[in-house]
Parts: sequence; C-alpha cells; structure tokens
Amino acid sequence: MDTVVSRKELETMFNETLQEVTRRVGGIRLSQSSAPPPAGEVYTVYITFERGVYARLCLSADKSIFIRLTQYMMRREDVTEQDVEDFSKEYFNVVCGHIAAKLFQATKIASRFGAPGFCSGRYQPADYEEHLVLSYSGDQSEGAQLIHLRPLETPAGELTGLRTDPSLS
Amino acid sequence: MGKRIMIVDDSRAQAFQVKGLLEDTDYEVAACCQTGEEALAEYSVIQPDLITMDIIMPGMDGLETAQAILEGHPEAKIVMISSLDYEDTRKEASDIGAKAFLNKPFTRDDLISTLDRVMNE
Repeated sequence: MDTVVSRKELETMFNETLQEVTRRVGGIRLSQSSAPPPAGEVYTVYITFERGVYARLCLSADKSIFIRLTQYMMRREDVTEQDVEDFSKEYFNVVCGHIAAKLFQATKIASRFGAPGFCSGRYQPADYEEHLVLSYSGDQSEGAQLIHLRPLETPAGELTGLRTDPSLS
Repeated sequence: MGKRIMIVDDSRAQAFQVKGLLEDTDYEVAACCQTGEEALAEYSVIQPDLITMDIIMPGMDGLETAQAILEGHPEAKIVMISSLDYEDTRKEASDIGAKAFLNKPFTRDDLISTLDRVMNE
C-alpha cells in the first residue's frame, strides 16, 4: 500500500526539519535557494528508511559544510576525515529521526531506518529514483541539496513507498 | 567520587558528545560500549550507577539490551536516548523498566537534569 502525503506537505516537513536540526546540531543556517547543485568537492550522507516507509534521504553538500558541522559538534577546529564522516552521520541520524517523527504524525506509520552511510561525491543508487530535491545555501554561501529518493521496487516486488498524491499538491 | 556512567551507543560521535557534556560534572564515564552485546557482557564487570542507551543499534537494539540487562539486574538505572521520538517507543522503554527517555538533540542541562532525576529516584 502506498502512503499518501501531499508533495507540499512532504517538502515542508523535510525543509523545516533540515533547517532546524542543522541550526541546533551543527550551528549552520541553511536557506532554501534555487542555486544549482554544489559543484566543488562534495560529500553525501544518506539514510535508508526500511520499515513502514521505503525511501532514501540524501544530503549532498560542499565538503566545507560537513567540516564546519563537525567542528561545531566537536567544539574544536582540528578534525580528521574520520571525524567528519562520523559526526556527519550522527547529525543526519538526528535529521531523519525528526523527519520520521513528523511522518508518523502525518501518516500514523512508525517508520524505522538503518545506519547512515557516507561517501565522497554525489550518491546515485541505480534502484532508486529522485522524487524531491530541495536546494540550499549555507550561511557562508556553500551549496547543499536534500534529495528524497524512492525505490523503483521493494524487496518483495510490491511497489510500496512514500509517494505523493498529485491531487493533494 | 563521581557517579559512574556506562554509555551504550554505536555512534562514536554521540558517545563523544555525551562524554563532552559530562565533563566537569558529578558524572564520570566508566565505559563506552558500541553494541548491546558488549554492554550485556560488560555490565557486571563495570557495575555502573547509570546507563545511557541508544535505541537504534545494529544487532541487539537498545530496547532489547535494556530488557536483557534489567532481567539480570532489576536495579539497573537506564536512560534511553534516541532521535526517534515515537510515543509507542517511549511506552515500550518505560514498560521494560527504563527510567527516562531523552530525545536527540539535547543540551547539557537536559542531560544532567535527567541523570540527576534518575539517580535521585
């Protein structure tokens, strides 16, 4: 069964949560923008929703955002690549936890998600399609995109996921 | 002597942050365990005054680990920590016997006041 949420509702949910958690956890203000995808050195952190809701959320952003976020969370300037990976994963875990809570309020479906992943560059799994892309500028003009991917098929072969109803847009 | 805390969290970052928040307080980190299985094995050895327990972990999750620890040690004081704030999860944690539930992100004041309250129960 597909979960019906309006595209607008989903966008608001993602946008408010990302901005609030990024400010509280990472000390960075993100503003929605129409900027093109970050073009420099990019990192991506992602999480797969695998129970209740089938979807994958990715945050692709300039490396400098992830470094600043890690410095803020660790309260120190010198951070290693491993620190950046570990703290970016923890930050995104909190983002997705809050999104899951808002999804629950809207759908009454208690979703669960797996351990966060992290990679250099953009993340484009073959078995998912892009459904929603939100672009942001950081307070030091960095670029970031929050991307909602939905699976082409679930493991059971049934098309099930967090989908939107165009009539509700 | 400070109250001895055992942190159970697969996230090195979260354990680092909790440790940082507990600096210069009445609490000292006696052990950090990255899995529920490790926590279960270490509990009797460490004998902490209190445990902070992440819920989502690979292998045994935090709720299963808390339940297993409390079955053998009903006196254990466990504070569940999660970014997933569902009412049914809070209820499950409470039913198992966890003393409190902290939703991420939390401040130093949130953490200390929760630990103080649980220790003084």
